[in-house]
Amino acid sequence: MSRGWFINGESMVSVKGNTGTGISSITQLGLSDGPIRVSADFRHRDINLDAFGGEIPPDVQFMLAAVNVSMGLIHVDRDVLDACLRESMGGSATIGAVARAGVVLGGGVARFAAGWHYVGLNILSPVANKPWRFYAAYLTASPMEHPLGTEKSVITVNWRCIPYALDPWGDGTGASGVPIWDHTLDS
Amino acid sequence: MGYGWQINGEAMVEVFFGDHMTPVAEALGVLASGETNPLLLQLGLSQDPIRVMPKVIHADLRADDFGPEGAPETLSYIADAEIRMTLLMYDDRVLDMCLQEAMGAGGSDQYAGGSLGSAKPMGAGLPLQYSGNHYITMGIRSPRAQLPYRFLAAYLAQRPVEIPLGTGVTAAICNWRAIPYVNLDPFANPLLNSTMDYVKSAGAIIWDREYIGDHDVEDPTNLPMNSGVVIGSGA
Repeated sequence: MSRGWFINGESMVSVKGNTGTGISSITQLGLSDGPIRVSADFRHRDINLDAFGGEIPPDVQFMLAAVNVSMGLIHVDRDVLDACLRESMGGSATIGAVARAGVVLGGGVARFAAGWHYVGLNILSPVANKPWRFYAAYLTASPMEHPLGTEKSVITVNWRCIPYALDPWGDGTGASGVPIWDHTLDS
Repeated sequence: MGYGWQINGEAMVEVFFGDHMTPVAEALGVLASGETNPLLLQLGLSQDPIRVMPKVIHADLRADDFGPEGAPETLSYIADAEIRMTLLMYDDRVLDMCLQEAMGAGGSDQYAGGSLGSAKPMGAGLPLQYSGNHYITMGIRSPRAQLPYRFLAAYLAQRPVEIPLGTGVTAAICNWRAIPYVNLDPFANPLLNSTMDYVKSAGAIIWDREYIGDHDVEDPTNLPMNSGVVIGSGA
């Protein structure tokens, strides 16, 4: 019987950034107070035809995907979180400051090269042994909600993970084969 | 079932210049110094679908019997094509070279902005892709449909580019025109030619469905427009 209960286990979140950051090697970010939510965002485009009434398509086109990952960090390394925030703000040198408007997070360079401002987001899976690695993630939407008070802070962060491609042409293959996630952790 | 969804796929725009653009390409860093031709270069990828719009000109042959508006027959005249694209991931140096050629000034300076002067024939009576011919052969790849476009004599036309400058990614709106170029010596006087040669448009090509790099790029005479008879005898 191949089916069974799927228990991920204690899900340590680790991150890795470019060679010029404080997270240039795989670094623990922290533990979540509840389940980490991984939500795929698939994009399909209807091909509408008058012969089908124009509203329900006889076929659709797949137009890539992204993944949203949300977590409430409770046992967290604030310095590591700050590094992730700085990268998501365009690679700003100082926490709280922005990079110039229009900075392209990929920087036109390969993953983890200097100038690449995405973060490799890794979630361990000690029980199920099926970890997650998101190749190019950044904090976005409501990227961080940080309650401050006498109780422990549960910092809610929202990541978006995209199929980053240095060359979208891919020598004629386009986005084919560009990874968003896999199940091998960064080292 | 012969019909189906027509999906071109990722469309890379490529351009082919004449030899006179080699020093410009080297000065701009597009070509390494000493790198030989051919000047087949990738221009870039479009933000939106690239629009290919042939334009065919017809003239009515009227007869009074058919009233003032009816036309029992039409004459098909020459045609051209417009190609519109909004380049989003592109080589701005190659785009600058295209703009130089469109202004008839290709090869005269490193950057576009100068003009060679008015009333100068773009083709200068030379075969396509020869040094001095300012037309560009422009190709649009078709990796999925495997049916590319190749516009043999194209140039950025009318309002050739619109380049927004700001903090967002610059999306360059480009308008091309492709014509059925015939390499006619503009200074030849057919009346002085004892055989009374005339230019004929039959067989002139605006576009074909070949890959831009498929011909022998070292020998532009293999281009369809550069071979065969382009000036024929009058009837």
